Amino acid sequence: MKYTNDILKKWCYRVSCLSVLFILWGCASGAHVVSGVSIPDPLIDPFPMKVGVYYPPELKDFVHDVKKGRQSFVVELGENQEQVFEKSLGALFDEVITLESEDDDRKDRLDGVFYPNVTGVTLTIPAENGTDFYEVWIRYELLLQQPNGTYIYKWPVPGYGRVNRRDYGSVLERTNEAVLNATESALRSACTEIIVRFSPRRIPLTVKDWIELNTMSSTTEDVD
Amino acid sequence: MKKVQSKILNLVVASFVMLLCSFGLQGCIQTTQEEFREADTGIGEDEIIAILRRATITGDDTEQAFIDCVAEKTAKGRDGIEVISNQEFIDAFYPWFEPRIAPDEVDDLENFADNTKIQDRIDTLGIRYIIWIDGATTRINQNGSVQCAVATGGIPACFGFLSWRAESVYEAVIWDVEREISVGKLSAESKGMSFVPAVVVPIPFIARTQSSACTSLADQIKEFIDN
Repeated sequence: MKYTNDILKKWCYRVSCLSVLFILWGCASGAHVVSGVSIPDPLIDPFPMKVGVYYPPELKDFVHDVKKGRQSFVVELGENQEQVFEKSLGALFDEVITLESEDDDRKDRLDGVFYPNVTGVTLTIPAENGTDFYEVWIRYELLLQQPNGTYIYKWPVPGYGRVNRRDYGSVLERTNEAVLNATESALRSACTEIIVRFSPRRIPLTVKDWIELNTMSSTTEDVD
Repeated sequence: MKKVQSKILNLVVASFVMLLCSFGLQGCIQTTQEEFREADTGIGEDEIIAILRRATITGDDTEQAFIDCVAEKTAKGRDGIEVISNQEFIDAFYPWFEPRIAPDEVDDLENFADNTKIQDRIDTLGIRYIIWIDGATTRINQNGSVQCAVATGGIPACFGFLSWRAESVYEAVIWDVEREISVGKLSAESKGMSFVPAVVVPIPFIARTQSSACTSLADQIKEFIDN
């Protein structure tokens, strides 16, 4: 009987220690994610135009670092963000070249130049928003200029992603994976948003004029 | 002899703890299902179905685990139907089935009629039906509590009684891609009571309503399409 008690005691200690460890782990953990999104090729027909895109260093190095209680959340968007613009602009236009600098010589042979930038990131977790969702908002700006620097249009491009905590474990939540997937979903949503902004219903008049002007001139050149 | 006894006891307790941790015990579940048919169905040998999550920007999304479960169970068995998963499908048709711009109504499929790239992709993959899954599992009426503390003698113990009611309510809307019509609607609703009595050791009796709703919906989908 004494042995039985001893063994039961031992097991009670083990289970209690393990529970305390899990609780402490849950309280202390945050997330550190490096986005590695893979956006598929869009199924759309491109405009017969040649455009450039310049990625400023602040876009490539963007890191969102925030503390929520005792938890630390770091979201590194990094160079993976280029995919958002490469996939969207690459599908919208026949040819897209990446410019090395703002004064790249190749600019003169283009129909227009895009300058993307990130203006902010917001991350909310279930503990603070009172829902079951990890949510990420990424706010981009996409400036379009003529090769000579004349302003054409500037879009605010929001990217929103969220995941349900119930998909990331019921006892020990996989916070890192949840934040990563919400971030990648936000990047994908930003890519979709850019494509949608060029749809016939949403395209701004100045951009429509710019496309018509350049597609007409390229058609004329082809005929010549 | 004592050593052997203690080893056996250790093994028994370890197995019991692991069993409780990994599976819990089964609570009571009641499942009801409904079917609403709008048109005849049938599927060719080279045709497949897509099981998709109805995602909205503001609404509560259906759990991905549930969508995966329905897709897996629909594809299994002798009467199984080949399924393209939610992620594979929305990647293949990017960006047309993304949350903000996915078609809401079956009539919206007409918008894709002029897009040769989309039509080619549908033909290549052999997609005959799109099944939109909507719903969620919620926990309601939670009562009682379980308190754990270290009792005299240094032994941790839990006492109390915790219970809750879980509801898994899901709906599947089926579109025929070839005819561009809605062919029917299926639903599965599972309700169950879970409880955790604790006298020193808490013993969970969990009603797996989501799993039950998944099995029910997958069986209905196979039966409905094969009709």
